[in-house]
Amino acid sequence: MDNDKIVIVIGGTSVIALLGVLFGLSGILAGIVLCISTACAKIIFVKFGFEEDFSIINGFPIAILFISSLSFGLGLLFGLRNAFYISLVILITITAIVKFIPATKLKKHSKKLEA
Amino acid sequence: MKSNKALELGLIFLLLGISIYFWTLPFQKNQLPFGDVDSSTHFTVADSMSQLDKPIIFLPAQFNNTYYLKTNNGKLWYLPQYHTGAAIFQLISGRFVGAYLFFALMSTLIVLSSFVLIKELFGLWSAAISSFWLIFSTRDILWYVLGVYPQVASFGIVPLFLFCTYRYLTSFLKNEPKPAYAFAGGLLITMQFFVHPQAILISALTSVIFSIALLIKHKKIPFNIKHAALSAGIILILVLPFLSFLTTVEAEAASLKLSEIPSLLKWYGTPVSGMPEGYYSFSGMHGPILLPIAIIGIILMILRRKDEDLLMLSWLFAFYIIMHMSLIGWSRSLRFMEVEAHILIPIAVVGILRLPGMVKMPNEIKYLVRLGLAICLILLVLYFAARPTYNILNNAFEGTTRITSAQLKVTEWVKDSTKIQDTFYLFGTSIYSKKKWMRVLSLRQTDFKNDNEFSVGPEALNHTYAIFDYSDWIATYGGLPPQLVSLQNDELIKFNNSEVVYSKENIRVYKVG
Repeated sequence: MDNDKIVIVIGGTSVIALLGVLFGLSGILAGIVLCISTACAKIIFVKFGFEEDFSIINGFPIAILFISSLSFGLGLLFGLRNAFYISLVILITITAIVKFIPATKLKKHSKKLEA
Repeated sequence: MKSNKALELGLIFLLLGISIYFWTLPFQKNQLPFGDVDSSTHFTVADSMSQLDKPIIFLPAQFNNTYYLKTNNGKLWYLPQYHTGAAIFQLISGRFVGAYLFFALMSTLIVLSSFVLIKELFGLWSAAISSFWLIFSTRDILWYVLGVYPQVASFGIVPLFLFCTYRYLTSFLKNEPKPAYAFAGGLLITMQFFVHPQAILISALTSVIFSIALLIKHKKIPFNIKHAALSAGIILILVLPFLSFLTTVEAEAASLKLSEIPSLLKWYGTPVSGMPEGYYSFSGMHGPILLPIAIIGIILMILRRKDEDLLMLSWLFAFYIIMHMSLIGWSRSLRFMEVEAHILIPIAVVGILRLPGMVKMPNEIKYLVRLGLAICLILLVLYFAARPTYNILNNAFEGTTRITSAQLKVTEWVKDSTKIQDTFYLFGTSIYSKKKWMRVLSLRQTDFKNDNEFSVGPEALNHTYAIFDYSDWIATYGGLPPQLVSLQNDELIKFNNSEVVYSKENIRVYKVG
């Protein structure tokens, strides 16, 4: 693991720990959701060529708004709690798919747009 | 290079940790809900969703007989994403801690989004110091503490949008266009629309002014119409499914008001009512150090006029225009005032750190002077900004100014033991904002007069239940003041034959009839 990844893992763990110290289990659970959703958004943005810090900072609001948009629609059918779980799974699945798309494919697509 | 990246990431997490610690101070010791008049309304939209485990489109029962029903024909006032997010956090982390953690995390967005923008424009240390200063931005804190307003989060997205705008426009001018940033900009405007549409005005206005500035400077249109159209398409596609939420538009008719021309000479234009006078005081809000060094920063940027300087000056000019919208008859400048710190703090920090560069001296000395100035600035921020805002956050809504556990208990009894169509009349609760909290925490239509009532009027008898809450007065004074004694006497006479269904800690609930 390179230095950047080590810092991200330590930073994420510290945020969860801080929330845990301040709010106990409630804080830890919120911290885990914060880190998972941010990590997913970060992986997607970095894959599309955006900077790591932009992707991390953009990550939480964009991921939570994605999850809440989906949860709002799905919640009318399945209840909000279940809709949240489904949305989180969808976000993780999209992240996994994007992670394994070869970067060259994305670059080709982006060149097309530039033209 | 690698260690720089690790340092940047480390600083991001450090700033996030400090922000979380400071902005969660209001609910670290006491986790009961807090806030003035509008916080309860934002809280209850999320709370209704999490309590019912179902998203809502129309305002719930507790809003019956209130003016809120009229503002969007009974539907939620904004698109539902922000409140749904808070509801999800309630399901994860509990009714109060969950909601307030969400509000705090979203409201501190400005700290890190500013870091991304300022690092891109002026380097790592300018970004780190200005973001650290922004943690203690008084106006942002006031809007958050008083009302957990979604606009605080939406204004926090502006720097991310400007980062994308800057990246796209400057890459286009270098003939190496990066359209991905134009599309990300579209995505960020959509996010602002989902959180609170008001901040879109400052994003859009700044990008228009910046584009014009680049056009004049480089004598070339700085964007491609196809990229702009695709970005607009992204916004349209993402917003379209939620457009049915907006049934009315609160548009103020635009017309030139000549009487407002003198207000152009005042920095804040014509003050709008709704906030205390101190809100309009520059030094009262930012402390004594920001103004002089921001002026230095602005002068240096005007003299330098590189693309990054033009972006900051465009942002400042957009702020000035918005503050003077009264000239065309608009009066929405009050909330935009929190943007002032987002612009002036980075300008001030950049200005201070540029000063050593203006004097001829060896590079090593320049570095040491810059370091010394940075340390002095951090110390001044700690003294003039961190100390007072710590007091605001740590002492927010103490004692009976916040809902008490006795009051929470009765609202929970109401929520769990009565029917949704039952209506309540509330007497005795000490202040207006707490009456609103009593209403929303019980999730029932609860009517009351905004001022305190000292006798039982006939309207109370038209409800299913009547609540008499003397708990605040007894906790504060150790007994009831004379006016409240007369209310209590009236209660005993009028409800002599009514059944007491709840009686704990100086709060009684009667079944009317």
